[in-house]
Amino acid sequence: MRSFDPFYRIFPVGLLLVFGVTSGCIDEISLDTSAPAPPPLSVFGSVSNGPGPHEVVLRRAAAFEQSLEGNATPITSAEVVLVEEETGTRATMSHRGSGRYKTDEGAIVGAPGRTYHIEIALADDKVFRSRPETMPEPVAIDSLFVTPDTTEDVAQLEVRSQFDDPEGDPGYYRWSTRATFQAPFLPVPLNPPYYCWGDDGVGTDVAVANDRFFDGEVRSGELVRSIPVTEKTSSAYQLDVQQRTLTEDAHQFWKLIETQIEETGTPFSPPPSAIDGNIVNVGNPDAPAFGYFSAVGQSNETFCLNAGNYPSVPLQSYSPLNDCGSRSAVSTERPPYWECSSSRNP
Amino acid sequence: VLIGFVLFLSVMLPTRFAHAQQNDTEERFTVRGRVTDAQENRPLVGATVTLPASDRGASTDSTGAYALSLPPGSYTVKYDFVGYESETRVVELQADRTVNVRLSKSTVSLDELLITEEASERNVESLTMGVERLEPQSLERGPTFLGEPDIIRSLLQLPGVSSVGEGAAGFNVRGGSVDQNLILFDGTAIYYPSHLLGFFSPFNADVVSDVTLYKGGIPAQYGGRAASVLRVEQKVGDRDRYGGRGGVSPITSRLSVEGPIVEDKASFVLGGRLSYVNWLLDAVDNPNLQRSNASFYDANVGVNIKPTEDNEIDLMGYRAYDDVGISDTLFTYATTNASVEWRHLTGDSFVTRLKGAFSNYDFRVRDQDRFEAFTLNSQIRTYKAKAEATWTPNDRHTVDIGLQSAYHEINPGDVAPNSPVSDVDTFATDNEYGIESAAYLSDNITVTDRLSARLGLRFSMFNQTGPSNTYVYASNRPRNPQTIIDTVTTESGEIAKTDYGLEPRVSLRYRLTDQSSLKVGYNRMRQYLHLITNSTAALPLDVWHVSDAYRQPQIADQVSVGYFQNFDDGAVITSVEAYYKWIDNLIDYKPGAELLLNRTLNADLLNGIGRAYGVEMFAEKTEGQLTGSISYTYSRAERKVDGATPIQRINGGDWYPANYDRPHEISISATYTGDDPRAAWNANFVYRTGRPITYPVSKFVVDDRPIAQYSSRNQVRIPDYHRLDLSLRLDLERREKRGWNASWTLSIYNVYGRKNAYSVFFGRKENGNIPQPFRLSIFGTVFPSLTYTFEF
Repeated sequence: MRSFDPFYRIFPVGLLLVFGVTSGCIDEISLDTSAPAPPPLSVFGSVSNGPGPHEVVLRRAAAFEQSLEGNATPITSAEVVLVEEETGTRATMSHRGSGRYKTDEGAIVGAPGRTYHIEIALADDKVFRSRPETMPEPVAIDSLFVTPDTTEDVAQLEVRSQFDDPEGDPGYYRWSTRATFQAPFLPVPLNPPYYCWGDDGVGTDVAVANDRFFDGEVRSGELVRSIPVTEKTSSAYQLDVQQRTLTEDAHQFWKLIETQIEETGTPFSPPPSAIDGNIVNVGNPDAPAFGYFSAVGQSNETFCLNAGNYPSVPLQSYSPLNDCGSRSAVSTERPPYWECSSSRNP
Repeated sequence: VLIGFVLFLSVMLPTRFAHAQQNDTEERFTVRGRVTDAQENRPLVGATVTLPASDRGASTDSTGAYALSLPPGSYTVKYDFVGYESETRVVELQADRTVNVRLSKSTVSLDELLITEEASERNVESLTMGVERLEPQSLERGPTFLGEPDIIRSLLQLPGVSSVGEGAAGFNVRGGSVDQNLILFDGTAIYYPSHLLGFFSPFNADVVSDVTLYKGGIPAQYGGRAASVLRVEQKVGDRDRYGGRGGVSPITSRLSVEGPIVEDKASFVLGGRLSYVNWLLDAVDNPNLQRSNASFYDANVGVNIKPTEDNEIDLMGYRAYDDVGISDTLFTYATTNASVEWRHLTGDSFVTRLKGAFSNYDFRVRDQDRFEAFTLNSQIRTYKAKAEATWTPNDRHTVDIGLQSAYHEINPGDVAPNSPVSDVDTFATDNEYGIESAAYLSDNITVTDRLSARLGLRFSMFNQTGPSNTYVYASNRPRNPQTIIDTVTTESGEIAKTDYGLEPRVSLRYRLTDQSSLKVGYNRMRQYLHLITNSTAALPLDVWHVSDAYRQPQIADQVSVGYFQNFDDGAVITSVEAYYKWIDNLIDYKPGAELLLNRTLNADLLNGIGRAYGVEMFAEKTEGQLTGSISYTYSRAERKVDGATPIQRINGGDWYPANYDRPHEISISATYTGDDPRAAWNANFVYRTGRPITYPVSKFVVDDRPIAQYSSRNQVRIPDYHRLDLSLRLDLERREKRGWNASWTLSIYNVYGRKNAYSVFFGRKENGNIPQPFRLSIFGTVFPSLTYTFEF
């Protein structure tokens, strides 16, 4: 079942519209705030069950009034170590570009029940450390399925997860996805047919859940991601789903991120609040970094989506890409993880 | 015990002392009686009884009774009540005498203001501070939105009363939150005081006879909320003739009728109000709005029976209902209240009152979305009984004593699927039960001609009763579902937790001169029911909860001091009041707290303290063709949440301004009645500091999405608020034959169309964007309206 927060907001928003629209007054304004604090460090990453590689991303934030472009600067010269506390194993995470730091595969094999943290030393000698997290047991995905939603302007295919929630466990979940679409590619001459593949990003949903309403039951239908029906779904579409179990603190953090993303913002909404993560500034506890380093139990599943299977959804016409090779994030090279095949031939 | 003893002494000793004095000096006789409304026969509470030739005087108590002890002689006694014609009686006092007086309502537009703080004599004479009276018959000249006279909107013009935004439900009194106001409609509790979310007040002004707001100096008979008491009395039907009132405005209509059932013995009053907003929604070229609907109604019924001169019975019923549909979701919420009261007068000095009252508030949400179709219900229900008495043994004492008990039953929420294919599971949180009881004793004492006191003591107790399941959290760790170490089960009929305490109430008035006085007051209030709400403005979907092992009773202590000065025999009255308030056990919320359908709600709550302080200055011109008032208020409302661990702190444990902290407030009101008293021009102006908000300071990229990081709580303010309203009321000639008396009111709300920020919020222009500041101005334009009001 969905969280009750969204409908909690529908009522006032709707009624405000009733009167707000009649007197017609929503304007964007500029806010006179005091000078922004120097942008802090942001840290996002996780260690999961299995050999990894485990990854963390380090960036500088931008002041709110600034454009984000070019300001979320990757940090490339930090020293980062992942520590497994029970065994004392320390694995260096080395920079692999764009502020991404990874362990070598197998350097630490994540195990549920064990406790992990990372240590970050920046070039300016500031040292940060994540508060330790004990990895929850992963919960396997039984199946993924789709419910079409045709009430939006653009029809959506809602991918949902079915799983067996263990009784008594903390029961906090978050889903991450990687979406890849396949498009017919029509070079000259037309034969033989070719395809190219593109990355469809992470989507707009931050999907988190807790088992308050389904502890110990088979949970059917937790929303993982909404996929708009566009030309990208006209051929084959692959969704790689990571179902992660979280600690309560991590769930709280991601829940606040989700709330901020979904929040429409009205006087009837809860006031926005600072989001506290688990990254501590060792030298100055009053200036923490923003972000979270989680220990997660993770199970993976791949789902092949075929929009033609849902009669209620208007099928998009083919839009063959004639410029596959020149588009960014689109490649004529088949990704190594690609498993889906098109049900329709170009 | 000590206070009780002092009270006892104060009741007994001065009486004996007074008698002793009488024997030693000269003989005195008492003139006593009741002051009532001539039409409705209802007691007029707080009417003044004065001897214009001397500085002696008294005011009537809650039963309309008064007493004055004087040496033998001939006296001219004047009886005054705001909105009524004064009466003067010559009393030959050679023995104790009873003089009952019936005052008639002023028939033409009154000279006094919309809001009369107190009648001019009472400004200096009365014991109490921080008490505001509102005259319903002059509401139409107040700030009317779309022509609807509104009691709560009028309250917001008063010093020390504010709200988070124009059109938000509820109000804040002297730094208190919206749930800290005890709102009593004929003694029955109103749990959500609004129609359509705050656009209209729940009271039909035509069936209301008296509105009193106690901001401080709260009498001992009231308790259960930390900040204020708003007492709204339903009128009593006329026992002699049939009549009615009504009004038609662009989106609401109202009608009330009254008259005798048995002449001189029993009467009725019926009232109703209906909205028709939907034509407005359909008129807007917006398909979403055209698919929406919003409507409300309320209905009042009252029966008064006076079988004998000494007995009176009042029956009252009230129903308010709102229905809002937006897309697939239907919201309804309703208040259903009823009460019965029996009053018995024994001799001239003893009035007994027995009352039973019932209040019910419930809301329902029905979602018709196929796979997620559900129905959600929540309800609070209160059964109250009380026995009270007022005894006026002599002219120096008026003693109030009473016992009260209320049984509360709350369903915090249950949800169930309402379609066979719905994915929603059935889920319910445990019902909550509690018994709230109180005993009180209070005495109004005239100590000397200059010094008067009201000493009151209330003892209140709350028993959380079963069945209940209380989760016990580890004491040294932040509360969360993982730190539950035990569950304590209480069976039905057993007590799970008891809280109790004394609530002293003290008011002193010292008359410096005929025209000036100094007053000081102290009161303690204990609140056992808590509205759990984390939105800036209160919602009809917010749920009340009882005090339990983790939600402690809120306790507020207020001290206040005031200087009251009249000029020109009360033609101008002025006052300055200052107060300081401490509040314990305030409830605050963890970021992202889940407040609805949460079995571990206490894990999401934080405990804090509060402080509020301010100065309220008021001046009013009460006579002449131009009358009016001006007030300035400086007030602060701050909170502090400083728990043991970082997650239990807000702003690092420092003080921060409450959402409704609005330091500066200016309110000006003026009425001009020219040579023709049938036309009254009215203007209202209000200015308030913008309320504080939390703002974003930096932004990050998380999973390719921009995310804002916010400042600590409430560090900047939205733009200041100001607004001017004008109105012209024209009373038409009375057509005697039909007894039809009508008027037209043209009102213009927000004359210069200022786009006052209802709210500044951080929204996204489109998916994937960073939140940007937006200003929402609900009443951001000029709202003219024309209302036809009639009386027969």
